[in-house]
Amino acid sequence: MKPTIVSRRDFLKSTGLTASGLILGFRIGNAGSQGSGVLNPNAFIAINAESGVHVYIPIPEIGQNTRTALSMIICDELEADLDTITIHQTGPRTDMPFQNAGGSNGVRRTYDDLRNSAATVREMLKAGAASQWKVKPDKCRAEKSFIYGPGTRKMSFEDAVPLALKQSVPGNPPLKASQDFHYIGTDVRIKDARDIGRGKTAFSSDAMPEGVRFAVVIRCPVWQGKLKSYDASAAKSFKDAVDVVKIGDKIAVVATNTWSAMKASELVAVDWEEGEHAEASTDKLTVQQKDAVSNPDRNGFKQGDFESAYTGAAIQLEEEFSAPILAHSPMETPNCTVWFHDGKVEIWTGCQSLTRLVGQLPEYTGLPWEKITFHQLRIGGGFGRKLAHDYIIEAVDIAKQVDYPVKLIFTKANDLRHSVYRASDRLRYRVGLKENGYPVALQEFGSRSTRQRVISKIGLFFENIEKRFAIVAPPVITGPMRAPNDNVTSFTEQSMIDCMAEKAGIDPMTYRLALHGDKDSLKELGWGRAPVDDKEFVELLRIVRKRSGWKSDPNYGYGVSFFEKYGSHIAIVALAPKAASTRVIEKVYAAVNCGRIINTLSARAQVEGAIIDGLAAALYQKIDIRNGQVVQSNYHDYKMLAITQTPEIDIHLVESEDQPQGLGETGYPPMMPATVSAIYDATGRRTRDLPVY
Amino acid sequence: MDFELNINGKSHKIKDVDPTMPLLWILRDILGLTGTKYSCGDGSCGTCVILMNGMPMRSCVLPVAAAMSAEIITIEGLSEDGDHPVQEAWIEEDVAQCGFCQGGVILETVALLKKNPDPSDQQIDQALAGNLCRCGTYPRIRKAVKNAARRLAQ
Repeated sequence: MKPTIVSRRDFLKSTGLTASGLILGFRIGNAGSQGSGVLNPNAFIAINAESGVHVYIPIPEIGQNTRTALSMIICDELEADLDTITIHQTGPRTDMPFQNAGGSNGVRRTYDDLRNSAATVREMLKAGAASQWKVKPDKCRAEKSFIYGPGTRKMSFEDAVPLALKQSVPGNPPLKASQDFHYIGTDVRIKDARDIGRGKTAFSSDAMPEGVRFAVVIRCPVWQGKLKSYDASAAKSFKDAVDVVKIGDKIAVVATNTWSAMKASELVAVDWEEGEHAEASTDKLTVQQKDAVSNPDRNGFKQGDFESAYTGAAIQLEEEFSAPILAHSPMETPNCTVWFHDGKVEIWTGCQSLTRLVGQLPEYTGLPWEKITFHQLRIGGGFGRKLAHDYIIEAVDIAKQVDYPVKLIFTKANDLRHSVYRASDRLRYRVGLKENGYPVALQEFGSRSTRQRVISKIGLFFENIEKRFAIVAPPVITGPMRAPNDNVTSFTEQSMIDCMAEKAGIDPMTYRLALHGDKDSLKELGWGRAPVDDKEFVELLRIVRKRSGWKSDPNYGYGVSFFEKYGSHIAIVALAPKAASTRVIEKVYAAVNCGRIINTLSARAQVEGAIIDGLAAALYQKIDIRNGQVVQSNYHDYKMLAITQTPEIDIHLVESEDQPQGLGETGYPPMMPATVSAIYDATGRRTRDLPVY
Repeated sequence: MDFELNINGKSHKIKDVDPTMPLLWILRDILGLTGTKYSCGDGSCGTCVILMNGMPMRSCVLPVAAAMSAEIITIEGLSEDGDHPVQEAWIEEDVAQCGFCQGGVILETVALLKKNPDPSDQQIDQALAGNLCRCGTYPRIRKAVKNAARRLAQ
């Protein structure tokens, strides 16, 4: 759908914000247009005489740096000065899709739309200036927020706006050639850096409307437990406590400050009906999963004849791996501020999935959309946790019962014990190989949670496959977490590939290269052909082999892994020192192909962060459940990596002219198997059930 | 109890608060100084670091009574325009991802560089060992501390 000029009134209607001058509305996220030929824009470029270029985008900012990346794409094509533009967050609005931070979509699904729209504005500005100068538009060019014409003719974007508005909107504006990009593919620092560094940026929890009070919620420690009775008399008389409010099976304690709410909440005596999960534990879950993978009842995928290929294979091996339940544990715990007043409601929070929330807010609040004002603020870390709306619903439910603005805050323990968890999965593999290690037969028996699909990729290397699975429901609610669905199988499959290589007496790097069709490795192993032909992985593996000096330093154990998600490919080598060290992994080498890179500085940041995140998960993180209750409560028992444990990280970004792909999540899963492999190579101890410690 | 606090060079009268209430909540909930953030509440993550007489303190476990008659600097008060050398170094090294924990790390770094203007890699790591960042910005924090040390030496 072609971008369109939007009136001030329509802009206000679709964004709730004001703008003037030239306002171009367009649609990002391959969302197309709903209904018949009506464009409902979800992004805007506005230029006005007073304040220059403004960009309005609906994607929540959680530290993935979408705000800067999308502004770079627009400014490059628009020929606007990135230093002088203003970025605004739109949303949530009804009929505005793509207001989500999830699935690494921010750049890859907006790139073409942003460029096309920015080029549209640029061409209109050029045509406007050209009309005044009475020259042909193609005699004009745009540069750094100015239009230049023949001779010394020069006009600012702002001055060209009234002229541009008299021009028609071009259908297929020409796009720049990639060699002319001056922002795309360069290092650009995040645009919000100064305000973040001086505490001025408002994060979700920083909304402080006049008269706000603070709430902490007491929830049944056992999932789906019911409230039988409670005595809040001591809490109510606690200094600064204001109200105790029942919301369904939960109790909210409200005070004039967060600390008093926390303290008073400890004084509430509650009797719970713990329900069906009262006796649940992760130990029992493990037993169920082990049982399930020994003979799973559901048929999955079948190809060829596993049984006979396995029986006839020269090398046979059987291995089992598992990964635990995880919590996202963002630094900023879930929080939401809500104020019902004068028949309306105002909400301040940070939500990763606004599109879904918009449809549900009228139901949550009991008010029509016109009566809801929603302030989406910067999110202090999400990783999938804030795709869920539990904290928003709770805050709304409390606010309905009081006549002041109320801010719900999860304590750290609240968040770890009432998260929407990454599910635990267990996989058992039986594999048959030829004498030379070539894969011939794969049996995969999996235990899955009901809520999370498992993506299995190891089957690509086999002709004879039997996959079966059983569903073992965990006693907690589960949902997406950074690179969902295969952040477990990345560990199990890469670990299995290591075991296959070892059993065949082949170096794990050479083995992976051969699996993907590297000619030298095929020759070395005497394989006539490769199971898979994937030049991208061959290139990336060769890069990390070279940069890491693979197995050249006898003081280190080396581990390698590869992974692909959201169109981005990555290969990782991790080095574990053999001598005692404060750092379990001292060096990490990563090679990444994510298509065209928009912001090389942010791309590196995302990969660095994902590697550190994955290392923490591999080494330390797990949620334990005993007597139906989550055990972990804070950073001492649900550990993040500290700077002292952080390896040196070397990242090689492959230059590419292909479409940009998603990068925020891809580096996270493969760091887990690379870590485990490196430790195995250094110590001879292989972790089959994460975490290592 | 009533308290008089000196925060970012200004005097603030706080009326009728529990003397054991951590300073973090006075700053955020009573004074509206939201640059100081909450994450762990038990002093383990460093997100809420403030400077008390130049010393980095975890405001989530610092009773307000202990902050009386001290000079408190929060991230908002580190510089007028956000251009303290450590803040500039943070921008130049592009440290922040979500940015939530960075105010605490910046103040911890200010204190470190005051004590040790030219810290080694190991000293940087040790000084910041208790400042957690879920986004994993540590490699850039290391660079930014060195960058800030260079700026301060000029």
